Amino acid sequence: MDSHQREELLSAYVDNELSAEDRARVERWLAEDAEYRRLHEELLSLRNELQALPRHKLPSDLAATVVRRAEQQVLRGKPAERSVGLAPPRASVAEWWSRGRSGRMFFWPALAVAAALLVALFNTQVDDRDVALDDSSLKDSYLKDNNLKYSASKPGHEPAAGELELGAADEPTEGAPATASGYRRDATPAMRSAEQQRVGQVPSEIKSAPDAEDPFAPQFSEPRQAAGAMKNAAPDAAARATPNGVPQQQFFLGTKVETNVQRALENRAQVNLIQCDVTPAFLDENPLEKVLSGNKIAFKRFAIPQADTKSNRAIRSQSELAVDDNLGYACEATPKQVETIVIELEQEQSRRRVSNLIIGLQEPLGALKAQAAEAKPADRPDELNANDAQQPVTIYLRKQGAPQQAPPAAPEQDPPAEPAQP
Amino acid sequence: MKDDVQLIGEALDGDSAAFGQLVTRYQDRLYNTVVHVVGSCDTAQDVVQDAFVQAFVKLETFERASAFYTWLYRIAVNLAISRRRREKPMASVEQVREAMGHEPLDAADPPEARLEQRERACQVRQALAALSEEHRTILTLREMDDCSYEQIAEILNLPVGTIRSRLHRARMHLREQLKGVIQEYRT
Repeated sequence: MDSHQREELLSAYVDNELSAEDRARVERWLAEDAEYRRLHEELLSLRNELQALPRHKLPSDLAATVVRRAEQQVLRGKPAERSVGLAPPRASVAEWWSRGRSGRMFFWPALAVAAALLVALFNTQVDDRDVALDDSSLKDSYLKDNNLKYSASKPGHEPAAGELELGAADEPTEGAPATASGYRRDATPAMRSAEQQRVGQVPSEIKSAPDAEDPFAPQFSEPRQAAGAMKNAAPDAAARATPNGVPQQQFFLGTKVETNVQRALENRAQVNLIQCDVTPAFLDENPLEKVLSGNKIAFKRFAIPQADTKSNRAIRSQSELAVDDNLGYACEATPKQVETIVIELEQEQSRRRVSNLIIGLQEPLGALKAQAAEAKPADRPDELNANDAQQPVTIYLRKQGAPQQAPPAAPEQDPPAEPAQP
Repeated sequence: MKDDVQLIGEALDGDSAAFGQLVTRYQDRLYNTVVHVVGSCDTAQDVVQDAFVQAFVKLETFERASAFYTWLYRIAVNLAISRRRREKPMASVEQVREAMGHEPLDAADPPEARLEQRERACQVRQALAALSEEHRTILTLREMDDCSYEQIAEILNLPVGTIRSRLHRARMHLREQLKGVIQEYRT
């Protein structure tokens, strides 16, 4: 046996991993060989040095975070992972929403309310909202009254109707979705047409995608068409209502809002819709924008004028329009960042500055989603960690006490990035 | 207290809180090991969290022939290694010290002893950081976490014979790195 083998046996001897026979051999060599004994001592010293290193402890208990993240991962719907560890998914997801925070306790009822609200929204006069802010004088007034300014991020850029100000995050991130259309920016007219035919209405006019250089450029002709289509779609959705009256799904400006978490799981939906009522005090301080900016979440604020009748609008003053406007935010955020937003709003809820917090699942219509997936940009690597992937999220803030509003010029929702397997 | 198998069964039945108990049970032990593998407290926190999430999501694939902890370790070590490969190796004492933070030392010791202890720990950590990834990982599993050869073989998916020889080589390299410290210890 050469010296290397003898040393290796000694190492295993220190670890007490030798057979009785080998152990006896090593002990015999130790008794005979001074150099071998010295090596033995050194190995013991090494062990002592390593084991004397102070032990590190995590600063906090990870249990809640881990469970929440795992649930979110499943909620985002990696197909290979959905069936494991969380059977049955409905139970665990429901438990997740109902555990811990007050907002989640009311997830199901809130979602039902959200669905009902959306149905109501679809039936309001949506054309008015566009007209209202298309009026430049009204827009100027709104900006002035609210101490806002036009986005100055691009020289010569004139915000389109409904577009008010780029948020505190300053420059939008490249490709951040915030068009007013309910369709993907990169959806071709043919794709849109096919989708609109699918929901029962073919638009008389389809505009091409807005300025490709401006990811926030709204497009207002299509929402009107889309909203019209939604009116047609609503009865269909109502017909699919469950016996307890909770609709299984609704359509929202070209996107499908899942009200059934189980179904959302199957369809790989994600939490990407946040809506709540806010007090004026909340809006004065607007902690939401602080959270968005503080977490480097690119966002675009847009106005949601109320759904008044034309006669009503005619008698409203400019300042009234501004005061009554609700706000929407088109964001691009990772699931972790979405969680941060929700936590902030939940805290505000406990301070009674936020109420009726609703967290929704929304995904593009199936056919459009499938086509959009094919058109996935090449620079979005498949191995991108799903936890780090930014996804479109829409936040609606309705002023408390305000009458029901028209559906916002919904920012376009890209399909969720396909979560890559690690 | 429920054992791992019971908690895993409950988690598979949809009780997320049961998995939370497993996280609480093993998080510090796992973290202490991963810190030494990746050489950074911040990275280790991320790795441990990711490992638990992955374990939860893939819990149904866990074959109960092995211990849950061994299986969890395997996930964490794989994540730690791939993470470490993506990041630059740390070379200087200061870099190692900064990444690892200050060690929790015994406040009862006199100041000189604490200083010496800190310096010593830093030297050992630097020597560990200078080892190859496979040597550092195997030494950490054996010395910090007291894993048996069989457990290490399972975690690293290697034969026990390979574990024995690799561990020996790792020790020889570390011995070279820490010659001065070892001699000081012996005297």
